[in-house]
Amino acid sequence: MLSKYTGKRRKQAITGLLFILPSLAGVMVFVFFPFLDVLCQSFQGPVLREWRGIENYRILFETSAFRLAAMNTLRFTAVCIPVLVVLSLLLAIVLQNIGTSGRIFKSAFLVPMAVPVASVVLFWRVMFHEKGLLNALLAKLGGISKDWMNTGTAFWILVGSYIWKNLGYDIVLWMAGLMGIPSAIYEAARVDGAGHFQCFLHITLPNLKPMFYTITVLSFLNSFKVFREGYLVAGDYPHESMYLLQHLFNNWFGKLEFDKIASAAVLVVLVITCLILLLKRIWEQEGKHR
Amino acid sequence: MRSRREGEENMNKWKRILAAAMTGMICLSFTACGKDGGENKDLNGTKEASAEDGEGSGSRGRLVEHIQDGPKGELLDIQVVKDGNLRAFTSTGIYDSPDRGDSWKPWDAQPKELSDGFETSLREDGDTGLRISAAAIGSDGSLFYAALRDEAEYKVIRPDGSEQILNLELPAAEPDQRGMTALSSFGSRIYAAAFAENGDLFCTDNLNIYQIDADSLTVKHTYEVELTDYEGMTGGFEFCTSGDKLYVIVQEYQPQGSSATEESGASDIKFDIEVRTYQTDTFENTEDEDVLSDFLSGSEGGAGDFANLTLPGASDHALYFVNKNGIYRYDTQGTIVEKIFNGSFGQMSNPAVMLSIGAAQDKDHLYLSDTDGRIIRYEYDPDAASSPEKSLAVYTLYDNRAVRQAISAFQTQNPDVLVKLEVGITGENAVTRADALKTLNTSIMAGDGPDILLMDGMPIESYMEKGLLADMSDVIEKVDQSDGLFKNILGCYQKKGEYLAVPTRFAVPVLMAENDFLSQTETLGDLADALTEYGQEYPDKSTFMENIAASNLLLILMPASSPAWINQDGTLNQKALKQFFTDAKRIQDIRQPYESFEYTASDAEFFNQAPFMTSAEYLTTESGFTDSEMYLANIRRGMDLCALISKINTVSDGSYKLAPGQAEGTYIPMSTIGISAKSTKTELAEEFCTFLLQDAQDFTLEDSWPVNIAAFDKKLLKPEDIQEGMRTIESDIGEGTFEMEYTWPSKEQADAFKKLAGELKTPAVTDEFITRTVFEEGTKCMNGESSVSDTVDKITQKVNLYLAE
Repeated sequence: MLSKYTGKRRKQAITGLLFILPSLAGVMVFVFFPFLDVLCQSFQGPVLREWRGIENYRILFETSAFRLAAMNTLRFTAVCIPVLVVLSLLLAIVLQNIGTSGRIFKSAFLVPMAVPVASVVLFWRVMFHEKGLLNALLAKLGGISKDWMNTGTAFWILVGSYIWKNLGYDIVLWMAGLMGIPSAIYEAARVDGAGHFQCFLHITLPNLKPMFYTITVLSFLNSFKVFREGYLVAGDYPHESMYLLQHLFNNWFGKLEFDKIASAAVLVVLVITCLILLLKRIWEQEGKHR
Repeated sequence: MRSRREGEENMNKWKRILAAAMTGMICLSFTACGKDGGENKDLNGTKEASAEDGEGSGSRGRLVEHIQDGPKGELLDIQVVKDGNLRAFTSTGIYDSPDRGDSWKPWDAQPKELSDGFETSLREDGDTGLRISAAAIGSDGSLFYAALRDEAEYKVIRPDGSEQILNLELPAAEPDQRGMTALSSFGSRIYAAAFAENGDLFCTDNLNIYQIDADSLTVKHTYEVELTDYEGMTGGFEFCTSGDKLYVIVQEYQPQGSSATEESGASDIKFDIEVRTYQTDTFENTEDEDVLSDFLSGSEGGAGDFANLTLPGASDHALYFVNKNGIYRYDTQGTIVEKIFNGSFGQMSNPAVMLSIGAAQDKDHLYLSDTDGRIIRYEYDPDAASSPEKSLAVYTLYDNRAVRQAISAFQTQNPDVLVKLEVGITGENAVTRADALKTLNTSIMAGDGPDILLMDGMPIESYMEKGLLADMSDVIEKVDQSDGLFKNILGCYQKKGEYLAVPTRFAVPVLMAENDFLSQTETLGDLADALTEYGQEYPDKSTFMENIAASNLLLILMPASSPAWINQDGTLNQKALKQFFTDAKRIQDIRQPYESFEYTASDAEFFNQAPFMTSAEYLTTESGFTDSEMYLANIRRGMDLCALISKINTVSDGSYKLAPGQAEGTYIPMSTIGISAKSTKTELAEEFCTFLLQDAQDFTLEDSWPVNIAAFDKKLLKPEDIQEGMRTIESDIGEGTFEMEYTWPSKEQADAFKKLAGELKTPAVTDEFITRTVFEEGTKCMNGESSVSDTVDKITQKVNLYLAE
């Protein structure tokens, strides 16, 4: 790799490599090599590591719990990411147009990120328990109370919690993107007679596409963190609707199902990698067209 | 231009140096990654004198334990006398041993009243025999004892046999917590005594310590021991001497944290230990021994509660402390508490052994005794390996006294083997079952797992499927050939002819009632119907187990039906579960419990108490208070069968049979063991498992039936200490008493039970997740907080997910 550089550029390249070497070494040792081991283990038995070929993958797809968890995770992602991205964008635009008070609201939206998980869990329990506040309120209003966390509404509570927690983060990122759009373009468009919606459609959105890629990827990665609240509230075996892949991995760990964990982890990495590469490809194509 | 180029080159040079330095720092940080987190740490001034972990470190020399029978009678004191012999003071007289405890012969010059024998327990009215409340032996062979007849008499016997009376006036007894002076343990008589090196006698009435002059036998000094009273609980003290110092070890109750109030439970109270020292020549209080106080208060020193047996060292100005962790030596002229013997190697770690008295000659020669009258001698052997050459790791999820007893006994038989017991959930930290299993699995995958698993509470089926467990067929065949095994019980986890997991114990759920009633009850539904009919026919009589909580009833009903809840394909049989709760609820509704008493212990604690709360002995007692003539219970041991048979004898035409349920011939497999397939010590592991299936089956702390037939037969023999005959039992929680004649089962009854055990065929579900889920949700159903269909739906949802993984 270095051979194509000569002289000063070669020295610069070596210096650059030396700077990133510690970080690269860390990633290799703590991420890449362990993943290679996981990849090997996905073709082996859990304890004695005997070769099994693709047997683990076949068993994985036959495991109904895996199918349920994968579907729930996909469903969760498919619902949350678009809602979060769109809602945060709209709020960012509103906050930007408010003026100085927008900064105060921006900080307020960031507060949920600082709330400890245990506090969120406590809130869930107090609100949504069978004998919680929500049911007490419903009873007073003449409604029928139910065990919210043990019905299909548990999924929507999880979605709500995720959006509430991550909204501020995405708003900040969107606002950074919005501030990067030169105001001269908007002025020129208005001179040409463009309205608000046309400015949004033809100026704001195209300029925010790089940020859209970043926010989507980060929101997707953050979606895995919602497992913490779900686990603390509902334990190892929550209601079916909020049974995610992480619940499955967590439970498999206790049963020594390392073969299944390895093969499922490889599949998840493949899916995520494909998704990110697809997004990147779309973004790069958009860039070329412009 | 030239200076600019020079400047750039300088900058590049510095960049290279910086990059190289940062790379070097990262590489240096990798050297911190090592296996050992640091061993042999000093803990509050304690240091390890011998290696504990690791096999055959190569170094030699350690104390080695020898066990022999002691002299006859209850041992009151033992001492190493000046000529190197041992002298023992027992309830049958004074004995000397010239060969360090191997043999004993009576002392010729002892008083006749001692050789005639005496009692050591409190006097009862009308009793005129000699009783001795305290005894001591001096290093010159002198004796002291507190004899109780009509009045207390304190006597000193010199080495030549001459007798002297000690005139000692003690303060009056202080009333105990119930206001009774007769039973008070404070005041009015001597409770403990010891001779010092200079011959002076120290004795205590638990109020003060009295120093008695060696020659004149007059009180030289009275040491008043001040104790702080905490909410009516007074602490206590013990004492010992070494050289010219008196050490008073004071233990007091202390509130723990701000939450300590009158309503606080015992968990808010801890023990505070303080060691006070006095000069025996000037009687002055010298500086307290903080190092010793810290040691005795800490976990290493037994954390208070007089967990230590204290032995003054005869010749080396040291004090010795013995607790379950081992033997510790405190040099009174130093500041270190040294561990000289690892408790894992000795009898002190055996929960079935209660150490009573001991004596120390020096750090190479110590003597202990236990309540069974054995003398345990510790001698330094320069050729013995400082740590055993072989080791075995045993893992159990929950602490288990029976396993500790087995390990201790195995090590005694095999002194070259160190068996390390790892407990997943100790109760001293916040580790949950899931956390403990993950930690275990991590260590297994890292190659650091145990050799033997005690699998109560673990996912046995999963471990079997994953190939974690090795086949134990050789072990089974060997023990079966010598002693016989209940193969019908052992086979519950057998797969493709392999014994991967083997229960070493079992319990039998039974129903006791009149024969007419029994003949009507084949299934759980039949039981519900029969109870309904009975309730209608006898509305004034107690129907069924009304003295126990609904959750307890559920625990008792579950084993006989649980096998029916799991289909062949591993899924949950919702229909069977629904039927179970329908019938269980009917039985619950028929009862008219007059004690609405639900346990407030956590679910984990409740499950741990379940074996006791479902045992036939306990439930026989409870049924006695309600005059009920039928109940369900688990027969776990001989006393359960005895209680059941005794109850049957009170019922006209009474009998018992296997508990009706949704499955037939059910039993509860317990104490399941397995050998790790990743173990490199398979032979040793098999040896230990053979021990568990043979010798350990007789052990007293195991309170369920052994699968070893020879041991099973022994458990059916009448114990020597059984108290047959009429007993009056009072209720601790309710009102009333009842009387029942306890009779040990006859040979015919024992044979009938053995035949029943041989015909058991269906193991109850022992998967803790399933049983706990059914129990937690089912309790709500039994208490009317949830309908049967809602309960079954919740259980199905959770258990199906669990089974689907």
